Amino acid sequence: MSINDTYYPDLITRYLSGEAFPEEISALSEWIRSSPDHASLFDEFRKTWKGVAADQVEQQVDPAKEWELLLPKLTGLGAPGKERRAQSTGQKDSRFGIRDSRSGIPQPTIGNRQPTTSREPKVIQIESNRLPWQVIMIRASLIAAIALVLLIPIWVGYRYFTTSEVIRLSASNEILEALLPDGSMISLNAYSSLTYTEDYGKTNRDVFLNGEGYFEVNRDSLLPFMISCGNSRLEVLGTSFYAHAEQDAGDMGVVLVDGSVAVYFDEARSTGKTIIPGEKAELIQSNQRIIVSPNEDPNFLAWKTYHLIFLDDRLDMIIKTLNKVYQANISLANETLTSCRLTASFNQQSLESVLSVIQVTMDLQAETTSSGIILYGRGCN
Amino acid sequence: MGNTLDKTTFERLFRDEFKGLVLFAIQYVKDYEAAREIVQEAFIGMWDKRAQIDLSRPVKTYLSTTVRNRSLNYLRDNKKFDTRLLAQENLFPLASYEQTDRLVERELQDRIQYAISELPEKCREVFLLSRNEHLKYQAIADKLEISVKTVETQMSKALQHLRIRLKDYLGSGYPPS
Repeated sequence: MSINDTYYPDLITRYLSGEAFPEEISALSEWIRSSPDHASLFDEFRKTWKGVAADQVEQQVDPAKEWELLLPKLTGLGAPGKERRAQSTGQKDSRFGIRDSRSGIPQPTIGNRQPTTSREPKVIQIESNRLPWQVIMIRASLIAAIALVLLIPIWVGYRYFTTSEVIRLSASNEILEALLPDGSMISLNAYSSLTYTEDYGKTNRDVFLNGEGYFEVNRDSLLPFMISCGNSRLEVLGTSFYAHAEQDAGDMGVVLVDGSVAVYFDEARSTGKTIIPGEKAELIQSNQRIIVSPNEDPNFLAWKTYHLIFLDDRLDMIIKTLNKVYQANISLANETLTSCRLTASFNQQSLESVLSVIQVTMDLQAETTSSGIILYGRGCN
Repeated sequence: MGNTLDKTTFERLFRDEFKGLVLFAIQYVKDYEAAREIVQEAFIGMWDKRAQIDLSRPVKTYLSTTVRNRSLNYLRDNKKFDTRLLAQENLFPLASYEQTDRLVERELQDRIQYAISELPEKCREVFLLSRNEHLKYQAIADKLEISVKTVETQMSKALQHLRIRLKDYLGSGYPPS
């Protein structure tokens, strides 16, 4: 321990008593991380303090008294005369779920998915089809075969392409989870699709992605797993990552969770880039650029996990994330609301529940219209 | 209609959960009055939004999420928000309220009281003003006509003593010393 023996115990005590200044909190945080001994000392102090606080709460807090203090603040319960009336409006509201009853429009269930009710993987839909280029190849092969009957290589090629069926996994409006033939797990977000041939896992592990998904690829050092989108390539041996791909533009992006991933264009593996866990890469087809940066979005997998973390985020960004994760259409009634910021975390909660927490925290009202949910409020400073 | 939160259920929930939630909030905000207020506000908010609350899901989850988020906002507004420190305290990103809702056992209560009684008089006086009266260091210093620095030293001494005396009673997780 530096400075003197009591400096950090004093600081820890001041922190736990709520007396530490912001700079001291950062310094304490830094000190704790600098050594496991510091961390365990802090832990002992924290547990002692918690024990004392629990004892104090147990002895001193009187729920009956607290209830008396709360009662006048509850709408419709404070004054006895009003109770009956308030309860009847309460009942009327209960179906519609809007506190100030801005309108009598019934509020439909928000969002298409309830996290806990649809956790189990969906039945896989497999469409098997032959792509037009294969038909062309077949014809070309047939002509070649007739013209040059004895040229075996073309015959082999013909055999190869006609027997290689294309398998397509496509998610409808829900997440689709599937096990690929090599044991790799994939989760495709709604409206995303993945295609591969029946040779997958035997002679190659090539897939085409359109949309976004989370991949847990089994390790196979002989057969690299490769996602293509236009001429963008993402190659791994075995790892977990999130990827999104827009087939129209040929752009692709990846956020690495574990292992390592190489990204490049066409066959130019040597000119590509490799990223490490916690980093993301974006491949931009139009100018053939690859941008690697730290991933700063803690919610990149929220569509799958329903774990949401907001760290002093602006309300408009939060709404954007919620719209994506819950496939909702929430909007803000006015610009002033965009300046509101929220720090919060949610774990596998329904959109209703997340929204009601946000509403209470920021004093907002929600109105449900045919096109979505609109949030009203006075704004923040 | 039986699915809407009625007054009786709400009151029972309040009486059952209030203490546990205050302790939950205190761990974040380190301030008794702020914690009490946060929990009160969470219940008021819950009552106002009762029509929207899905009673088929655990209400405790709703309450603990609200309390946690309000507490995090309090820390943020007071510029005392440090994610890594909160992570060290097992409070971030997702602390479990279930772990804290059982308060102290009788035996531990006695141990704490006994350990406090062992403190030197001045030290005990400072400690109890902080713990029982919820006074800030400055207020304790004013009341006892001593310096804030002395309050700080006495508080730290008291906690050091309790740490040593309660070591065996405060659950696992202590490294063997």
